Amino acid sequence: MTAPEPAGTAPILEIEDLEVRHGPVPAVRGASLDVGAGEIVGLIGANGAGKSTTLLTVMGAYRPRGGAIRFRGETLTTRRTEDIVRSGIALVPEGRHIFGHLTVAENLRLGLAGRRSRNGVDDLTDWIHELFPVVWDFRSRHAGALSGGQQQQLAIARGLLADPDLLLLDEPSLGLAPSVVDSLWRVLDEIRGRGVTILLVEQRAQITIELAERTYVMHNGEIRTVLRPDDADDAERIGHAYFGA
Amino acid sequence: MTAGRLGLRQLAPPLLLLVAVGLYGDTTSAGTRDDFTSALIMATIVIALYVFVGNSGVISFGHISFVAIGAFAAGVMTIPSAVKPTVMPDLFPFLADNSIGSFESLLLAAAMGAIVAFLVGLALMRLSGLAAGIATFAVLEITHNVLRFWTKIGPGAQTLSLVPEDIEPIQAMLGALFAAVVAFAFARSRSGRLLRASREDPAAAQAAGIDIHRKRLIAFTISGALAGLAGGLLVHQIGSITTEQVYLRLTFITLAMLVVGGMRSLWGAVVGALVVSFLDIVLVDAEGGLGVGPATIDLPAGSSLVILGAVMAAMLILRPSGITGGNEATLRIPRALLRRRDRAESGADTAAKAGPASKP
Amino acid sequence: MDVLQTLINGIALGSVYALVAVGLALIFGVMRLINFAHGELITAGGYTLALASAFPTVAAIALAVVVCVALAWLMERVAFRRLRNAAPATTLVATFAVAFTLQAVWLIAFGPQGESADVLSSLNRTAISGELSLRWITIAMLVTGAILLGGTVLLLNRTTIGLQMRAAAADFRAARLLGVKADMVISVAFVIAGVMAAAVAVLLTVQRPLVTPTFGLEVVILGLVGVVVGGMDRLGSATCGGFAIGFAIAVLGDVLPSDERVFLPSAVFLLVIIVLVLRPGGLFAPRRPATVERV
Repeated sequence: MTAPEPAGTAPILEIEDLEVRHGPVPAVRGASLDVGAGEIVGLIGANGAGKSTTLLTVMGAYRPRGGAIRFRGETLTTRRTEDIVRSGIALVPEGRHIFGHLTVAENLRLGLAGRRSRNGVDDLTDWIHELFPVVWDFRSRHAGALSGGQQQQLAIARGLLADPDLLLLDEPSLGLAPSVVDSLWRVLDEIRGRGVTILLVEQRAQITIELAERTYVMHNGEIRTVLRPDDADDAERIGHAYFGA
Repeated sequence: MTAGRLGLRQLAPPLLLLVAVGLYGDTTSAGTRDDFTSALIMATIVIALYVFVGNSGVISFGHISFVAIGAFAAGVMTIPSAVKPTVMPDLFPFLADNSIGSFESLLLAAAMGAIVAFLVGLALMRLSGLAAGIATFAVLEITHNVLRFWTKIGPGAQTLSLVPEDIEPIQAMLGALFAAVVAFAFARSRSGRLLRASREDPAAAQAAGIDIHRKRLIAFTISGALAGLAGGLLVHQIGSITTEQVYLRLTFITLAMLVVGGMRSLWGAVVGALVVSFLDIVLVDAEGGLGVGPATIDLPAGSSLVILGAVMAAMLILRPSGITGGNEATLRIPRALLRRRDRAESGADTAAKAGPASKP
Repeated sequence: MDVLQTLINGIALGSVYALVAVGLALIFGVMRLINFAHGELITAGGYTLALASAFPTVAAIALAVVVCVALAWLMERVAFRRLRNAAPATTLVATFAVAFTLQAVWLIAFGPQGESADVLSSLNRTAISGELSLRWITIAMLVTGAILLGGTVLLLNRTTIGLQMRAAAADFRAARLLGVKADMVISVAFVIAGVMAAAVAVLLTVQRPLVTPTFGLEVVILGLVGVVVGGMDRLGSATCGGFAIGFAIAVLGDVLPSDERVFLPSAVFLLVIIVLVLRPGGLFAPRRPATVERV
């Protein structure tokens, strides 16, 4: 099922009938979604629904069995991960994958690897330090010494340094206290305000539905429902979609 | 179809192949006979290797130690007592004064292989992966070093010669058949199956109460016995042995044979050993000018090793699961030969059978 | 003084083996590949020196570096690229096969008797005599080891590519997802390995000028053992392991009475087994709560 096109904006990311398998096991079966430029779009679902796999396939970590992924109209599925990053997509992976033995500053510098050009690095760096002060304060510490919330901020900062047009986030709220999640959500809004499109994969349904323009619900590798911010309080509808109506 | 029947149908292909090679080899003349005997002894070594490596998933670089120990033990004890003091003056008295027959020496070789493997295994079975590889390699180095310099137990750096040469294709075939049956029996035994279960996920297996270390030790010991036996066969084929013949090159070749054939199955072990052996023979012949139909292949000297090495490397890189993919071959018996009630049974479960390969 | 002499010899040989270890550990770090064929790089370097004996020394050494780096790059491109996701033990056997093939090539090209690489034999002369006897070559080993190891540390810690290599070694996929170019990082690792191999070839041929087809094999076996004993996972512990084995060989060689010296390999390898059984993760690896068996 394809989502209704957001009025007026060409989708920056199109996923069409995506099929991905892990060996013989299907992880994503014919899922479709669109992300319009400048939007925050959510993708929620239970554990194992196929959300992470979808994001990783966009990034080229997996080769899909079928379907298409297009970024600004160009097919992504045959390209290498590092090239996909350079075309303007960054992923903040599930579990953050911070390099614990490297310092915070070094982790950030790695984010520069995905840049298309060196222009605007200073500007971007200043903005990132504003968004995430902890990244400056702890710059010489080993990243492994940071708390979960701080590591999440570092991961997002690192992703932003690649100057992406599209930022993919995989369960950024995982393991974080509600107050931390709140401030994180405000940051996401600010990031969107700067022109970065966001595809947000989450398990926490309600806050995602509230934040995003629209939220796709994935169940067992398929996307069957799209929810709007108005549906945020409709627990029954959410529950049905989550666990498969 | 009972499990027993299926088992026999999986044991049959390697046995039949070995028998075919042995019988055919027996009909050939001198030089080629030797090649066939060698191929069958290689098969025995590779089967021994499979018993441990295939079932446990742990690579061992040390198995040729057991072949060496078997070869030297059998060799030293079968040289006529009268000759020993001249050739090996420093030998321990009980070794110098006694001699045994060739067949007994094979038993001795297997026993020595088993004992040393057991003792070594007690220390090493906790290791896996890279650490096991290096530790077993260390065993190979120690064995080589000791055999090369300890003249009280053997000839040291000199060639051990004057060993009775009584292994021919048929005897080597019998040795290989014995090894294959033992290997198969172990693989289907409870120990073997539990060991294979632990191969994929040692942590899960341990959590389920399987004593991995003990199971590995059993496999290691059996494998050491078979390797020792192969060593005994080897020394009685050539009539002599040196430490360099049972060292790095043999280690590499036998490991590569196993991997090329497919390290997880007996069929893989046998196929790998025989295919690579015969490839080697053909290549060495080609170095001396080999006629193939109207053309003659004439390879520069020494290039057989290059080609062999390249083929092995290519196989390992392109198809790491080996020629057989690590599967056993199942013998297909034509329906007409089955008894009536078996026909009914096999008709029912043909659909459920995994893809079989009939014997070559 | 004898003790100091032995210690210095130990440190010198340790430095050489540390270079071998770096070559092995860097590649393992970025590719999880155990390169048994590293020894063939060293042999290639040795043969290059032998063939270039007539050239001026600097040219011969430069040529050796070029050959080693080229061969390393070729190995990666032709053979090892596909091994990226294989199990470590499988890669060990596969690289063993590549090594074996190359040895057969050397055998055909140069014969079994070996070639003489007479490049820097002047270093065999004594630099300082008296109670403490120091040859130039020992000094060269120490200095070269220090420079190359120091250079590697600088490269890894102060450059972008070094940072990317460290990241790739820690978590290859995460590094790629940040845009780190996989091929680039791996190629750099092989280039460095090539440089290290050339240096080792130069240093070792001074005291052992005869280059045979198995010249590098003997070195890499010990180097590999050292790296695993030290701890393959981290560059630091692997290098320490390489150093330790070089040190142990030199010291034991001096210390053992000469008729027992033939059993030196057994002593060293017995030590290796003991270390591995007690600490399978490596001697210098940080202690971790024992969960699953390493690798």
